[in-house]
Amino acid sequence: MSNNAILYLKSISKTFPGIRALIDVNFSINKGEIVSLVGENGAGKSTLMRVIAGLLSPDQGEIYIEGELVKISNAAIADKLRIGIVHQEPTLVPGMSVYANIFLGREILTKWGTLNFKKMKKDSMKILDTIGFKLNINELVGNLTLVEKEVVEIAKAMLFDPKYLILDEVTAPLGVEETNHLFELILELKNKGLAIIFISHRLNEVIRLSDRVVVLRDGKVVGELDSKDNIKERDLINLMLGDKKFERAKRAETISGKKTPVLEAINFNKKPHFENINFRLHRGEILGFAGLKGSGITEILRTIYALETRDSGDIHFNGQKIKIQDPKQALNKGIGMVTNDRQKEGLALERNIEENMSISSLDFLTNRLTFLKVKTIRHFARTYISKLEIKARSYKQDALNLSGGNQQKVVIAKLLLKGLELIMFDEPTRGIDVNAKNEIYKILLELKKDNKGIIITSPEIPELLNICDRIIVVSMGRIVEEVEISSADFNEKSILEKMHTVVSGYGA
Amino acid sequence: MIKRDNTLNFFRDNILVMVLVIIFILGLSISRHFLTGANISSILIEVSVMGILAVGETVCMLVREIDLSIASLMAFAPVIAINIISFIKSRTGTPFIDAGNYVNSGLGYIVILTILLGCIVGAINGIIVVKTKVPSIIATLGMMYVLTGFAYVISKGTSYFLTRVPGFKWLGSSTFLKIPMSFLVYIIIGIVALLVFKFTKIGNRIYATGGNENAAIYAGINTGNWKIAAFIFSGFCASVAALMYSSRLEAATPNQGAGLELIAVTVVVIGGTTLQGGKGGIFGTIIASLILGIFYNIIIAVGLVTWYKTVITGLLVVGAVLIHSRGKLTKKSI
Repeated sequence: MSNNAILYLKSISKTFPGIRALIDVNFSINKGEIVSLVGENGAGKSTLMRVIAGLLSPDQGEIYIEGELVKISNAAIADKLRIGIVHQEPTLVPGMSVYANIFLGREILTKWGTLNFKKMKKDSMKILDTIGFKLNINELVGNLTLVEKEVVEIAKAMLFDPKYLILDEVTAPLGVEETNHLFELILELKNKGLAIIFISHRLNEVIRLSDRVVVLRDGKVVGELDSKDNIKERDLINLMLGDKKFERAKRAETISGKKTPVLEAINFNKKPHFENINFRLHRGEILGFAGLKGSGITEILRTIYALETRDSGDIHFNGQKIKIQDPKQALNKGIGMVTNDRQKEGLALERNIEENMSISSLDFLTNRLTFLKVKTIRHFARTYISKLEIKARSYKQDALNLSGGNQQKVVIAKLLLKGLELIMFDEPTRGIDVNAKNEIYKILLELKKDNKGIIITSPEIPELLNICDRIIVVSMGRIVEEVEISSADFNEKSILEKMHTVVSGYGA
Repeated sequence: MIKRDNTLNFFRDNILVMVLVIIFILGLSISRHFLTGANISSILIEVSVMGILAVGETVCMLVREIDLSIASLMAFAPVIAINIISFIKSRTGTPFIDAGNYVNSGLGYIVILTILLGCIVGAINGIIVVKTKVPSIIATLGMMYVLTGFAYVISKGTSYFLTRVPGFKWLGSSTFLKIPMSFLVYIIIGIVALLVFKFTKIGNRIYATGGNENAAIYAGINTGNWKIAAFIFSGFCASVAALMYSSRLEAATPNQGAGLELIAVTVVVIGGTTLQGGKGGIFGTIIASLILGIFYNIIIAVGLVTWYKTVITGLLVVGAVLIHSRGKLTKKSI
């Protein structure tokens, strides 16, 4: 921590009812420096950023900018101090255009007090140019893709030529290509002298990008590492978790054998999303799907689960051809899916843990008079809370108040309760902290030991290499590679390359 | 970017105006009296009351709230205004209300106090919704009953006759270039609101508050204040509707306007604004009010029993919701 840091937070503390979110935090950053902030969910990262952005005022502590004491009491003052922030949550209004969103709350007016559309549109185009991304500024934000929305968020933060830029989980919705593009931009800004605070769960990105990494745990700064000292993921994780041991999930022996595959997809086609998809999944096997955003993997899984229709193709389950017309039939056959949007598609957030867990299994959790078997449901809820290590005050807690990792576990418990033979997981560890990730890997390995068939997708290849027995690489809707983990002739780089394979005739 | 079929878009963006043209032609073809001065006047007068209520309601729905008290406010505001003036005047010995409930003077006082009451009730609605977080549908429903009750209690169930108040007929009965004054007032208020929304920050604030309240708060917008402002505006519109109605009737009755809140919401929904907020706008509401006005006129001309009115209104609402929610969001409505 140097004294000529241009942004210096001294002894910042913030307490909410029941939680000490920040305890005596010291943080500083210099011109042209990229400092990453890492920590588990709830460690205090976003809270600290909100203090800098003027959305929260600290209970104690001071903020100095270029040596002078400042009070950032609202977003407008943060703007004036040239602090730009891209929040973790979306801050866009879907019914308004791109340029209206970029200028929301700080519209440019004409001398008569009306909106200066021309200037706002012009400036919006300029800022998008600087970022290097083309967008129709008149398009309604609600019609944009996730990546485009993230670009608009970045444009918002960059609008007034910030000196300090906070990026809170901006890479979460991005695929590999977009992330690289964004990193180029960040390095350019660093060279221009911006001070950049980068928050991400993806530790490899953090190590790649930062000059320094600050680790938060339970509201306190527990460590600061300099890139000169060659930071390793393990070091960061140890600091983030404290005394808890980090164990790389051990892969059990692959149960090999030429048994009938539990699932066989034959000739799946759905233009323009995917074509000619053929693969098999065996019992006791974890099959990973690797691919860029938009490669069609999510669509393939959703089609198997009958959330989407397909043009053609057959599913063979345990050797027999089956027809599934909706997820209910899929579940009854023994096929389940955890989608990539647990809040929207996996949980009833206003209901509690018990209710969420039991919802798919009501056929055997109700008696002949259709009354709920309350004691049974409670028993299962307790069982799964302990088995999956769900951290909650009780089974009566609302799903809304759980952390991401625990929410995901409730969704998984819902499927486990049903008793399935094949479960598909679409990005199961997205937005989940390291500790919970490990717990989910443990769950997957347990399922594998239980002889279930498991499909998992993830944008993080190390994760797939860690727990899968086989990986199928999909690019542009086609299968381009299939790799057995036990065979040693591949590596992360080669899988990454395969994901970029240009397939001719895509989208035809 | 999504490539869209331009003709389909043209239809979707302009469907309301097309429906208006169609229903206008329908009216022409059904009755030869359609285009007469008397008929057009009667359509426009009915449209003014529905429309002004709907414009106020539109702003409420754009911030993702609803105001069900507007119709009862139509009765409450003038009745209470008259009573307040009467009370004050009785202190100075001047009688305000003669025998038989005839009011004898005070145009200016009545108008100003009615509008003031409308804004105050609107503010109270807004403050209740924002501070206590009671859903607006419940808060304004409660307010509706309170207002109606008050109007009856204070007036003791009787009406006030305003035929002897000089100048009171102006809003309801006079015309300008043969166009009824109420309609002109309605259109002027509507157009001013439209322009303010399109060309000033106010529109952005309202749409943001309704479209994504979180985003609005992060952008430094005081969404609570804007919601209160929306309710004040709908209260204001309700009081204008009260004056239009009372002026036409030359009386203030404690049950006037009953049921109009639902027609107002119908007009808003047909016009493309939804309860979810952040989408739609005043332009759609104005066109929808014209559509509904012509439509009701046709029903009477054709001689259909009143329940046809309800049935087809219901169908229009459902149809409107289906059309407006189809596919992606199209242009930002004004």
